[in-house]
Amino acid sequence: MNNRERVFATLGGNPVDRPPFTALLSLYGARLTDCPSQQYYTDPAAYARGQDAVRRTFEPDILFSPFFLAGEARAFGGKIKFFDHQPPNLVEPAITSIEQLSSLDVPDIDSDPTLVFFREAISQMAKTSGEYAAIAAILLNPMDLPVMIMGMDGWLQTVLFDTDGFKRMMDLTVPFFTERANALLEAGADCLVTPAAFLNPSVATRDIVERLALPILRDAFEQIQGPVFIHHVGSSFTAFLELFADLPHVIGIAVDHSDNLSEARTKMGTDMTLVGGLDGPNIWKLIPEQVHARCEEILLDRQHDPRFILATSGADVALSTPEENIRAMHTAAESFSHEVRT
Amino acid sequence: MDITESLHQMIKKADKAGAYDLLEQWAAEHGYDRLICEVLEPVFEEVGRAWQEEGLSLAQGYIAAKIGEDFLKKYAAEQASSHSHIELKGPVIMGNIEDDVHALGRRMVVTFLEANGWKVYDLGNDVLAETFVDKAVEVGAKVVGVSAMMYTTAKNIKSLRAEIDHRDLTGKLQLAVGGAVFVLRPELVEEVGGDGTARNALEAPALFTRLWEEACLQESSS
Repeated sequence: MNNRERVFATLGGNPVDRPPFTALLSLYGARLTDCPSQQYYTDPAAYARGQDAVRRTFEPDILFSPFFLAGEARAFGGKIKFFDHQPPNLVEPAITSIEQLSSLDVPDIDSDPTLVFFREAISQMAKTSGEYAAIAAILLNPMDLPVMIMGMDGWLQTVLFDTDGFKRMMDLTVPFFTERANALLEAGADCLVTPAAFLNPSVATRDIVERLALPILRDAFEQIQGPVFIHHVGSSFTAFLELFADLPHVIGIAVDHSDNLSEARTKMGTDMTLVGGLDGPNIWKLIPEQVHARCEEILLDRQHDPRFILATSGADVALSTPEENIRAMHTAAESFSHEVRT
Repeated sequence: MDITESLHQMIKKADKAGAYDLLEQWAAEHGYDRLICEVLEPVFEEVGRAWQEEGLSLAQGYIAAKIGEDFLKKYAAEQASSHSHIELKGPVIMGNIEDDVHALGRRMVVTFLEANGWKVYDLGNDVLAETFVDKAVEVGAKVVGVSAMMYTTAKNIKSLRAEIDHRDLTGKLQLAVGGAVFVLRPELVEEVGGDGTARNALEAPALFTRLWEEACLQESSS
């Protein structure tokens, strides 16, 4: 059973040779290939080389497309900044209020350089690694994309106080999202991962999610020709978890390390895949033995859960993380399987 | 239901329209000055407590900030038209540290500081350490509030700590730090050299008052 087969067996709730695992190592590929940040996030070949190095070094079961949310902002005209030790960040959004929406140019997914980069990176990853590992494409959903287009302040203002502006923004982001999502699947992604940074209990109210977001997401996801994972982004997601569980094509949810996995499983039901466990951005602070022990603890807790994927939660694994810490995830999965079988 | 309880419930439901109707009616009868002191201040205190203990959402905090901002402006306009003198506290400095561009939290802090009577110089996003200290020295500020959302940018606050110390302003210019990463990792306050932090925007006025008093004590003892 190779990594890719292991993932698909897990999604189907079928037996696997060892528990699957993954880590958000989008950024880490730059370290492994000694690639400067700006080249890594603009050159599809450089990114694909980085992810191939991730696969060869750590053998995760899932690889990720660029975790580069500011790239979507850039495509809409936002200004971004590149950093040596973190993914590029948005410095200035394309617009700051809904009144400026009419001046916004919707980027063409076939010609905008940043959007082409995302798609080409996936295409090249599929060629180099797709036979061995599953490939997940990260993209913002129609409710979260406006945060990158106009900033959190402007989007909150719109969602809370401007019904007409909200509708006009959705008229823009829903078709953009569906067209782009299907293009990324066609380029070689096995599934989509969409961060719920705005649709998160730490940001939105339950009323906003139920009344405004779910009808939009239902409409958008119905038009997607592939499976979707919802990602918690950076805070506890349990409070809203069940709201996303019956959306079209949603097959899994990635939760925060602070979320109780048993409670999450109860709320999402048994047919969906539960992803999570480790605090990704902070595993650099541990020693490999601690990572190994924590993974074992999580796997023991989930040993009767056939649709569980051990993963880092939150943002990218930090560049300062020792390679041994990431390898400890693999060895924990391997040894756990051995212990269970013996 | 008491007005403070009604307002609190409306903030929790993110019902801005309902809150404004309620407050305008109350202010028409009692005036904006009493509205600030007798309604908004206790409600914000209660919302701040709930934010910390019950985990209110950013949307709810945003509604509270908008209410504070808008009714503070109405109060200021009323004061200006009656030629009353408003005695401001401060001044203090606010900004996001170098490379950090997440403005919303900082803006909410500024709103609540101003609602509490502080004169605030908001330097915006991506501010260099020297710029913070230059401005503080120029205007006579005793507290600098610096915001960072992520660990990678929070580490840049160390350079502001070093700049304050390098200019012999240790203790006399207090460093308040805040942002999402400090809520998740409180030990980071000490790591970057902060003199104090607040878990949310509503707690900021109390923090700045404490740090201002500490700076005054430090000055008088040197």
